[in-house]
Amino acid sequence: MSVSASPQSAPSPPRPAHPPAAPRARRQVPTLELLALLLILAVLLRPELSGLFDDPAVQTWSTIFVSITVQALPFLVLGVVLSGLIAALVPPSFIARILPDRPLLAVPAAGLAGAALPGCECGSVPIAGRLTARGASPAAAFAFMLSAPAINPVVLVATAVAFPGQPQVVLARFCASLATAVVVGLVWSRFGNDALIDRSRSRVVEGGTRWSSFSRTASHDFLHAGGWLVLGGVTAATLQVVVPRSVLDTVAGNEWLAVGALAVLAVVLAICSEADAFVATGLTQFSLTSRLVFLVVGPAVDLKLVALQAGVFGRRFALRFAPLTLITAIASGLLVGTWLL
Amino acid sequence: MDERTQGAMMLAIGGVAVRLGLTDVSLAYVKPGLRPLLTVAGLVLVVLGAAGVLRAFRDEPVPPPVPDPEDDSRLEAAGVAHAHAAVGHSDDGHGHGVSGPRVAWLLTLPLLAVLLVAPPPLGAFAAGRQSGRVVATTERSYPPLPTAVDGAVPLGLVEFQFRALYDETRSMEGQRVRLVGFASPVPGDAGGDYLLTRFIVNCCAADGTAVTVEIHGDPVPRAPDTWLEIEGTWEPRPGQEPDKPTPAPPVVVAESVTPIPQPDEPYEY
Repeated sequence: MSVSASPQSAPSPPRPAHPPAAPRARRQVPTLELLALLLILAVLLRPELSGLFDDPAVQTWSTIFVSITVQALPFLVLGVVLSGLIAALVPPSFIARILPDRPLLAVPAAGLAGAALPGCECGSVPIAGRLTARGASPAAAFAFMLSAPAINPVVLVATAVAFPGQPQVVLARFCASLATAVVVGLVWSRFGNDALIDRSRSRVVEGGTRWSSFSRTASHDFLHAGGWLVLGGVTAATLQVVVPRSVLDTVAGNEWLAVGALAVLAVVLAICSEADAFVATGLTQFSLTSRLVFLVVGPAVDLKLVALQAGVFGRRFALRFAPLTLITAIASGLLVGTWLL
Repeated sequence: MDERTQGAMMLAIGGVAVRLGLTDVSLAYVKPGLRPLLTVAGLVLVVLGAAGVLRAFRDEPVPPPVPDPEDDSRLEAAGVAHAHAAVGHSDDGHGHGVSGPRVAWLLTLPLLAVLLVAPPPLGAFAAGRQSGRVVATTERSYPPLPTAVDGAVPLGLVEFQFRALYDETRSMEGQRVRLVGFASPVPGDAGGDYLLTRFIVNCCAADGTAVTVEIHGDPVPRAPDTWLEIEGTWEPRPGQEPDKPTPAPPVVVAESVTPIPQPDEPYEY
């Protein structure tokens, strides 16, 4: 699996034996039969397989893995449904027309618009992919993608509930996350390379009825983002089981180490932005500022998000975007934390 | 992955999601509030999957005809020699032609895990991986205890821990309480004591935090992950004050211990 251009732009020689115009004829691998075979094998081997899962570490891994994917599923479906609706109903040039031309206006506007999407991070990535494919400037779409999971009302209320009597935490979270989204968007519009975005991944299936366009786009986005989400879930579950949380206690005393440790924890835990405040409130051995960094980093960059972004925008893009977001989120959390907390 | 398979995959995932949404099985993974959302999401996937299967069945032409790198690479991966493998297909690891994305095959992992393994709720192993610190709160005043049922006050482990460590009125002093959780070993303790443990979950099990109570006075050794209903009284640790809580979990001296089946809701929320 090499990093390279999309198949559409690649000069692939057509295969004479399988003219693309006849989809049925060109099918070489009977994938449905393969899927059926896989399921049958799994059912037949069930006794042997369940023996493998008697080990408590493997059990814990599988519980966390299934939890991450099950929890993300409704939000992912919401995201791909919206993505499908955009593809079916919004004319290609519409978004570019309603957004201001100047990035200095468009990026903060898109960041603030994120407050209107109640959900957690898994849904906002496919939506951003679709907005980009529909003509929104990538910088604005990224600002929306980063801010939506962090500053929407549901998350802010959850944060207020998790930190009772400390409304400044909610305010700090809102400011730091919005600042992260806007700064990353502006940095991307100034220095980013839009050519890194693999647009073929958010291909709109044109033609046919609106229903056909909607259902094809939503299905495509679901299978695609879903596969990458699973990859993120596997990684996060593995790290959660391999690295015990008790190592955190050893670094809590030193403020700089604490900030780094909680940033890493946010990336590794890959938990929903509606729940992270409750985890942060329990990390009492850490300073409030380092916990703010945890809250700002989590919804912007974590393992499952990087996997999703790699899926929607391409791996070359994700490799650059993730470090940019991480550094901006840590800096913004530190600054706002020093100022407000 | 061709369109039929994509449809079948989404039908399967949607079906499993609906089942998870309608049954208590999902409570090992997510909070109860997510169940309606899971059901709706599952139904949406079923509709989308059925539409895909129907389209493939009718043999509707699929729009942009792009040569598909997928077949090559998967045969290659399966160790099958293939003439096309080397002829300059640039592949982004994604397989994006007429067939769907190849990465979608990964979706079979959670599907199989739920159908075949049905992972149990987090237990003693996961609790042992956590820091073992007590849950913190700034709350210092608590409402009166709930009324006793059958001679003991039923309390969740989180509320018990809050009242034991932070309550300035010491509302639990001398009260017989009833707690439910699973047994997990006390770190570095070889004696007969164990921890009564329960996970508190805010969204899904990945954010679970273990809450523990140390149980003294149970003559029977309890295997880890045994679910227990314990009646007993809180015993403050020496020197413990509400404004300086101990880092160690509170202690209960057990008067009766009953093994019970795992509750339908394995976590506290």
